Amino acid sequence: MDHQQPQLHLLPDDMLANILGRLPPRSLAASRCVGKHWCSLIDGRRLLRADLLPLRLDAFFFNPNDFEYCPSSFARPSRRFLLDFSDHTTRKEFPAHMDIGDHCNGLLLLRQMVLVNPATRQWANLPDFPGPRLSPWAVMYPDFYLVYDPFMVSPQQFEVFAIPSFNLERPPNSDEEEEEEEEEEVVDPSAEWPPSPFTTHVFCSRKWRWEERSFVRQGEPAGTIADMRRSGRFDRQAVYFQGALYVHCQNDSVMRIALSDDTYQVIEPPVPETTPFGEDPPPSYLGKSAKGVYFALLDNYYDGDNFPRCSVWWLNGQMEWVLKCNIGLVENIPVHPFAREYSKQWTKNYKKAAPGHDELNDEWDFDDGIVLESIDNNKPKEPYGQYCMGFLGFHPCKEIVFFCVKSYASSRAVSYHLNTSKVQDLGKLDVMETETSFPYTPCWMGELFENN
Amino acid sequence: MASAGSGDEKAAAAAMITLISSDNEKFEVTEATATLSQTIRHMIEDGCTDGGVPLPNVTSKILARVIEYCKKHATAAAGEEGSSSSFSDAAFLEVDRAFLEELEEFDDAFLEVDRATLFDLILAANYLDIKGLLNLTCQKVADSVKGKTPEQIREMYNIVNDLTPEEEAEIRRETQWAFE
Repeated sequence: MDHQQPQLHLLPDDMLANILGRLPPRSLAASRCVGKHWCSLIDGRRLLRADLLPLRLDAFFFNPNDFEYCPSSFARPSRRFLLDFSDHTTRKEFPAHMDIGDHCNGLLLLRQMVLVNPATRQWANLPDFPGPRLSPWAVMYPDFYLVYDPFMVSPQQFEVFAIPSFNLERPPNSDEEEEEEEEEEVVDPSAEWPPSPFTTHVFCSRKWRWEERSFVRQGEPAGTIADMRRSGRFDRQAVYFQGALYVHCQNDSVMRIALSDDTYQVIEPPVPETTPFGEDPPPSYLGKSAKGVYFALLDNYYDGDNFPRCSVWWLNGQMEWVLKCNIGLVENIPVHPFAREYSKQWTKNYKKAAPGHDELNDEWDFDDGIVLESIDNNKPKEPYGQYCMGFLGFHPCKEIVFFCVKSYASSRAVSYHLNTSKVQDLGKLDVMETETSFPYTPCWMGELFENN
Repeated sequence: MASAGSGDEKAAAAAMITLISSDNEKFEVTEATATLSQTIRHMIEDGCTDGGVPLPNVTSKILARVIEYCKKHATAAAGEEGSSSSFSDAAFLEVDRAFLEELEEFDDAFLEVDRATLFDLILAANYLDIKGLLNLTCQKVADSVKGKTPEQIREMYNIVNDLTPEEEAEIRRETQWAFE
């Protein structure tokens, strides 16, 4: 049959467009390179709408602090503004309290099991989680992570993975010993974690139901359940990158779940955890950036005498962490009088569409900025205690990280380019604590739930 | 195929349509089967099917396959309609699911053809305006292209690359995100 020379290019344009129109964006981009005819057909019929894809960092979403009841956004000026959660909390069909559990390629998953696309303003309630939904005080409770790949899979499909976490082990001599005993019956502290096979619930949008799925481990576990319960890392995030879900485990290991063959492996932390039991470990973050998966650690965070530093690692193809840089910017950033040429400041809960500037539809120029002077050791230092640094996240497409610099007077968001060391001030940020932030890339692909 | 052979022969016979392929082969099908094609449906509505419907764009080989598809899907549609009135909701859902699963299996097996036949089926489905068949066959081709590199696509479908290396590099640059 191969001798029959299948003549795909002899199909009339309507039918060829029908076929190509079914391809996900990444395959359409590859199809444009096949030949002149395909390229002009795809472009002529606007089959590939890169402008709708989550390729731009336009905002951060923050989880509510103790005085708020819904997430807030911190966005660049733009013609297209985002959904304001506070407009929805009074409506009956939405939860009265909302907080974000995960973000993936423009979709937000609320902990209340609501899926939101803030760009297209589509909402969907997911069916009840079938697994044990234990109270926050239980030994083990599920975290939920979103897998949404509009580039390679489909703009209409997503999955939600439930990955168990463990609450902190109570220090010895706890006065609630009775409960402690009850807990031990449920969980064997010496059991390896994650187990193999690792069985959990996954929500599949195509079938619109939760299903049990098992993943077989390749290599060593991250440790034991007791190890997990010694680390006080909460609000850990996961990264979806090219067919795999990378889950930040409690001891800073990363569990890499390969979605194509239902296996997983554990990637060791970039630096072994040395925090004594009972003390807070330095803040660490997992994120997606230009070349894949990145890990950031704020060193000396709790050391009152020294300024914290930020180390950033990149995960290479051999699943090894490569140190990208160790930033000492913290000493300079809080006191630097920022040049005010960046007049289009980002704002919280950006609501009004900016007046007609065409350039506002272009991407924000993160490459711009100023290089801060190197530290002059003779200059008297500002006491560090006046400032507090928070990590806001990674730019999903460029090697840039974002910090929140807090002082008594105000707090600001700054970007730091890992390759050029250029710093840019994004504006005043009204966050009280380091609430979890989610770098957000809007996705304008419509009809997310069309098949349901 | 010519006779329905049931007790309701008269009604069935009255609703038979003759389709004539490009190589002059005649196929007799029920109206329910034939009207999955919007093109034929319109001809029936216009009353111009006496003496058979000539389909000069479809060979007997391909028409036989198209009829096979339409028969199965017409039966499934009729079965669904029949069951909805006589079963409770739960039982209906059960029957519905069984039908859909059977239909999916049929479709999968139906698509096990060489590429030349697949393209002929696309052309026939387009000409006869059979939406389900067009969807099915186009999706099959799309699935074969999905995830492939430009080189693999060209090789698979014997497409000559008429882009200069510079042009191709430029096209790639326009969607750099897709090649990272």
